[in-house]
Amino acid sequence: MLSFIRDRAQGWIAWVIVGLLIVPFALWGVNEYVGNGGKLVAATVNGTEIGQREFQQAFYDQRGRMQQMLGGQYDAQLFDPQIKQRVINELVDRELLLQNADDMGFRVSDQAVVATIQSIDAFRENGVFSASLYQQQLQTQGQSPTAFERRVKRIMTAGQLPDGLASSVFVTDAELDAVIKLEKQQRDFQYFVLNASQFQDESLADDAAIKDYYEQHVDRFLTAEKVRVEYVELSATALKSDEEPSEEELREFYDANQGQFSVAEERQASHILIQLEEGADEAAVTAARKKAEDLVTRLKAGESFESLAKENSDDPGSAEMGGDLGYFGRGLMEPDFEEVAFSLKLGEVSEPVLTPFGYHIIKVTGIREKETKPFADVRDEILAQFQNDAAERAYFELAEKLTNQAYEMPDSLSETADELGLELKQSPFFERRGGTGVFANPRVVAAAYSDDVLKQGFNSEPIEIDENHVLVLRLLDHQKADRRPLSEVKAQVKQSLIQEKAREAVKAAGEKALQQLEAGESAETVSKALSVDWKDVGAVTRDVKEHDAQVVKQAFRLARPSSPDSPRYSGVVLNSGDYAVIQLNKVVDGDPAAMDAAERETLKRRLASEQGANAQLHLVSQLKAGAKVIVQNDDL
Amino acid sequence: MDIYTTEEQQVAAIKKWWHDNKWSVIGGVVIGVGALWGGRAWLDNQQGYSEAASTVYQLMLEDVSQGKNDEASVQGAQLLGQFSDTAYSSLAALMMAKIKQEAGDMAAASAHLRWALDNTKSDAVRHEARLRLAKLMMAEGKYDDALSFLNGVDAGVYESTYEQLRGDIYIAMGQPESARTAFMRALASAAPGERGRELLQMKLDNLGQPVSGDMS
Repeated sequence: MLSFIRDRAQGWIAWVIVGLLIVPFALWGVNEYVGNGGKLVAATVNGTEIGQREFQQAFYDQRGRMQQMLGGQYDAQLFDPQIKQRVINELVDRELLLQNADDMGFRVSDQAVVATIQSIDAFRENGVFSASLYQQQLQTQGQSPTAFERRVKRIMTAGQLPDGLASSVFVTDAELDAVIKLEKQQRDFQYFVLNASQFQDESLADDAAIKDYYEQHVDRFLTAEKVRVEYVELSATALKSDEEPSEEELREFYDANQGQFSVAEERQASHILIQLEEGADEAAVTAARKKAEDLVTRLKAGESFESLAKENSDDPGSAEMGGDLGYFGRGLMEPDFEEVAFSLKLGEVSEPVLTPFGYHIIKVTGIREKETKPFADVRDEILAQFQNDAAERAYFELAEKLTNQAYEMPDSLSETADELGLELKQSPFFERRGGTGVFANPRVVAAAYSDDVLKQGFNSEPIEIDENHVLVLRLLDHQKADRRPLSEVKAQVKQSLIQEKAREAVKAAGEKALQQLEAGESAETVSKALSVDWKDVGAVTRDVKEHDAQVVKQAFRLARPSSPDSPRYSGVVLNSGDYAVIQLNKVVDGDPAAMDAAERETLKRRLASEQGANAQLHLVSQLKAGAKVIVQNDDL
Repeated sequence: MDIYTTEEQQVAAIKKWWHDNKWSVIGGVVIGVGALWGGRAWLDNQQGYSEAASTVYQLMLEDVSQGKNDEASVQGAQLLGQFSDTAYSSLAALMMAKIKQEAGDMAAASAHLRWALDNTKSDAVRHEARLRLAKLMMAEGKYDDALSFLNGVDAGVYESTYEQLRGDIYIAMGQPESARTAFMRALASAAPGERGRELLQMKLDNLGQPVSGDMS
């Protein structure tokens, strides 16, 4: 062969071989550049793609957690977009951190990844990492160990820098003292409140003033926007026929679905487990088998299974119960265990059976035979199911037709209704905040007020109200928001006007009082003139609860009095429209020496944790500022 | 090419070329393959080296979180010595600064932060080291030093943190007007999600408003 090649090396064969070699070399890696295997991309970070699949998986994880927390309260329309946004941000941030970690030379070894995975609680059984549990957990999530380990490695690598920045934060005593002075600060102040209601003056609200006010605030006196729609509604329940299938058909169904009408065989068994650690050596296996065989001999000699189980079984749960495992059907136990448990006779004891847990000695203590309900007992059940199935089939067929027709003839619903034999119904008027019945459903309201329906006059998309219940609607009537005539709203306008004037008046009175106080008028004189009393708060910290929060907040925003004899004054308009006048007498800073060590430590931790979180936040923002991030919003 | 008229002539020419150039060609191939191979080995070695540093660093973090500062210091010294050219050294320096600060050794804490500042490749580490150094200066009463140390830095996304620290320093110096300006800038540049905003607002409020009267 070799000599053949040498002989012909200068001939055509050499060229053919070179040619054959060139092709793979030239195309090596081309698939990296041409297309990406149809991979859908959720985002691109500096040219690295975050796949749609990765995004979806993270999204479903988070959504699952939210759904578990909120149960039926979970509103997909409201929460899904928020969760998607959060998930994509997190993935982008992590990718940025990972790229930075790679650039900087951060590495995590495979051993470290293994150690981390082994410390995860979800993979531990009785405090020890269990390889089978690990495999099983990953399988339920549809992940391969390799992919999972790679993910863990990425997360660990990406986390090293941010974790290092956060955990190395320290808080100096000077810093801590300054915060204590501020947060434990006490302020001594007094205040009075002028009630707006006492400044109401009916005489100001004459007809001319009312008309003026109405004209100026037309947008506050509007009728609500309303729509009326016509719609067709399709539901499986409504399609349920009373038609009875023949007895033969029912009988056939019964025969074909035996499993549904019977209870499979169940057995009760006790066992004694001689445990074998994973990877146990030859000697350990032999010792365990020997022990199991000895036990079998003793059992055959007539010793009680219960007491031997209590003394010898390594399965702590069942040992206490004399080895009892209760009733179980097929598919629950290890296959080898099951095979034996289902082949023994009642009361019979097995030879040692090997499973991944170790050696088992099994005794069957109870048998519930497979039981099949007779046809007569389940006839009604079958009938109902028959009718349901028929209704569902009819529903899906009609729903598909409805979807197509409503889309193909967007300017009318009546033909569609006729063709499908559905009633074209009309709704009452309802506002944007929703009406009653199906029109209370936010999705129906949103569809009725969508551009397609409201502006273009098209049929809506089919709206799924719940499972097997769908609705298509189109606009019938639209009443825009309109000004209500003055005659109709006069009382309301008058009330608003009086209140607004009262607010202005109370503020003016308060500000006048402030001027008088600042000019040196005594506190009593000012309050007496307004027939109100000062409330003396005394010295309080900023978290005091007994006083109006707005007043306290304002009191803590004032500059310190320059001397004990010249208090600071300030006023604040309260949410109620009332006006508070505040006199700040004294400011005493918190005393760091008065704080006990434990509280000081807690505060220190809080500050360190805040600063640590900010360090991480800034790291990510900085990376983002220097990165090219593209998020495929449409695909989310 | 048509100067070679026959196949024999072509073959002869190729043979001659090979004879003249064979050592350059073989040498080139050997060097090329060697470089590839060596580079690969170097990379693997480098990777192992970084992973070793990473493991030491993880141990250090664990020890710190369990309050074993003495053990952590040993690992820190190893990272700053044997592994000083890895990315982990500057993080170790930040951690050592914390350990020294908590032990009351301000000079050593400062030295570690300065080392991190001078030797890291990460902008984030640089900013953190600088801010923490200034914090130490402030704690030691070196206000002017701290302020000038913070001056002229392009703070970027760290602006809020820089300004807040400046404000704190001005407060300590008894200069409420400068502090107010700094706190207001800090508040204005704080990113969404930034923690400690209430405290910052409190610091600002505590200075009172520049104009008295109605502040609703």
